[in-house]
Amino acid sequence: MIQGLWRNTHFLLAISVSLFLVVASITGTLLGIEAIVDQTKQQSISNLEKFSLKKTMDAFQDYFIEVYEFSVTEKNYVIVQGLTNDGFETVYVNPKTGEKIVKVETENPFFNTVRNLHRSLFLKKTGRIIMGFISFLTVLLVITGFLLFLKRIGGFSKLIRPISEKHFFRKGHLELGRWFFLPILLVSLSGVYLVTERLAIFSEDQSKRYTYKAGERYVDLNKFTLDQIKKVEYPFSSLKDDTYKIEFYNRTLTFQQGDNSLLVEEIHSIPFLIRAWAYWIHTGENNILLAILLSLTALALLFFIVSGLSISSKTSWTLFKFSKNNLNDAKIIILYGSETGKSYQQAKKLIKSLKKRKDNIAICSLNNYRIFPEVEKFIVLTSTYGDGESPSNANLFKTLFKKHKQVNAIDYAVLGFGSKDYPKFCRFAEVVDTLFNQEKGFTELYPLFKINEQNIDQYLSWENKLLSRI
Amino acid sequence: MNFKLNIIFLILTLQSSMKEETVSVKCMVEMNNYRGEGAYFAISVIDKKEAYLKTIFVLGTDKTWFSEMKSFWSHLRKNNLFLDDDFYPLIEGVSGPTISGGERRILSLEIPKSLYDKNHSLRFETAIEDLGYHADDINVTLNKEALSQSYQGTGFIRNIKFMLPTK
Repeated sequence: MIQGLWRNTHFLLAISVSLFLVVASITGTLLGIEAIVDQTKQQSISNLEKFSLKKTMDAFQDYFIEVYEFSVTEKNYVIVQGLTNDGFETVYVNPKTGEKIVKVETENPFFNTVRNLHRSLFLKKTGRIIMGFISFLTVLLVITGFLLFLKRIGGFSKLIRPISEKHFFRKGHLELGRWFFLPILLVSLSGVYLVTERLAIFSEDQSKRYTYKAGERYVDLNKFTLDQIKKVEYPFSSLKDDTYKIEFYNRTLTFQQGDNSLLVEEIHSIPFLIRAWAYWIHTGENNILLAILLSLTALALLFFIVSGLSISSKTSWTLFKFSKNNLNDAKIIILYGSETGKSYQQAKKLIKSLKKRKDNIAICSLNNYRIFPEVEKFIVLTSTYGDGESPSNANLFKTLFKKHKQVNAIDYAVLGFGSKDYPKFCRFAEVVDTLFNQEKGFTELYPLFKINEQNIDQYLSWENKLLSRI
Repeated sequence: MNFKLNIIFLILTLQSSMKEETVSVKCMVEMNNYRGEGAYFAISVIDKKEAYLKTIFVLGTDKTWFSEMKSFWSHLRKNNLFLDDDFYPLIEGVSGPTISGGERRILSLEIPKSLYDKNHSLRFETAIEDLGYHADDINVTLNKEALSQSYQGTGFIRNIKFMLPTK
């Protein structure tokens, strides 16, 4: 039951999320590419940890008439606002020479539009809430997907074993699921966090604030390097109460100009740091490898949607369907156990062949086993799931079989579908066969037959022999 | 008619290409502590009747948000400036990113000398996504005395300090 629940949950989540997820992953791919491109621009400084704050500030002093502030962005750009010979400017600079590289231009309107779409579907706050919720559903989707994956490969211990699956989309869904489980989980979790943070769902940032008297402690600018720094604000004037302020990722220092004596130190609380991490993970703006991984993750999501739809069109949809057939009058009942829908398709084909000769045939999943008043023959078609377990619509069969005793004597035949790549090839079919074999009033019509990898010739030979005995 | 227009156009272009003499005012804007997106700013010189004489500075790079600064936006619309391709580059020449809650920013405002001491005022309009709009977050008379003091904002701005060039 649980397994069917996971599958149906996974499927329903996927359906409700897929449209938004298509938008999010296409825009996400583009933004990933933007992040990659941005990090190859001339103003991107790759080795920020090699620049001391003191030397950088001295270099600015030489080049600028006056500096108002400078910041080090997530994209590893160093931006100075201040006065040059051309007037008041905001420019990208080379921290080594302090010279201007290029003026800061407005953001590329195309990527700006893409970013808006990605964040909020152009719907401002409402859109952000929707995207946050979609992100949250994606977290659930990844978790249910991973549980299904573990079940499918037969446990945690087989996590890195090769997967035997011939169908392209199925194989892709499983294989990518294995590699992208963690990236997608992180992307969606950080997405949820960024939305909740943006909408101020969590409480205010509570930083700890310590104040010092002038002369008590001093700030040594040689100690810091640019990679630690977010922003440095310069004093407004040369008046004594106008101060310097350095923002780090985890704290802020305010100090006096002239003797650099520390006045205020603010230590940021954990949520502040989580936000920085979530932003970093979600955007990949300061790490080109992460940006590449994020783009691939977004593409993988698209593949999941396409392959997921392709797989579910054969399985999940049919799992929701109810077939009309009269089980109460049927003399021959085909019982099927199907995880992926293949056995179900096969069972329907068998009905067609049988109906050419006989009437009163019905079809029923193993989990719907009960007392059938007129039945004389059972034909079981079942696959095996994971590590020799029942498929999801047959997991209750054992119990049901013991509970419901048939009225008439029964002739039976069991056909198992499976793959010889698995050590427990057709194990569940064997289980059913044994149950029938030990049951009073049950007689074998045709011995247990196993089919490897949907082999059509094997199937036809079985069908012929079976039909000759009915 | 066409000829006349052309001449007017020529004069206008000539005028704008001639460098007006300006006084650069240094000012420091400190924002109140709020969460959310950065604030959009339009800093303009207006006359007593609140007619816009000159756009001094615009903060905020995404033009789709300009309409949130309602008074400024209606000025752009009235004068057909919002579609003028030449207008945006002009603004961008004196623009910068938005300012977020709790932050401060120092700006250098180039204000034409001819606009001083005429009872005009310098208006700071601010707008923040989801949080609202203030037409006169700061409104300061445009003269040298007024531009060497500090002021409290009525909206998103906590405080503004002005400083005129010393020389």
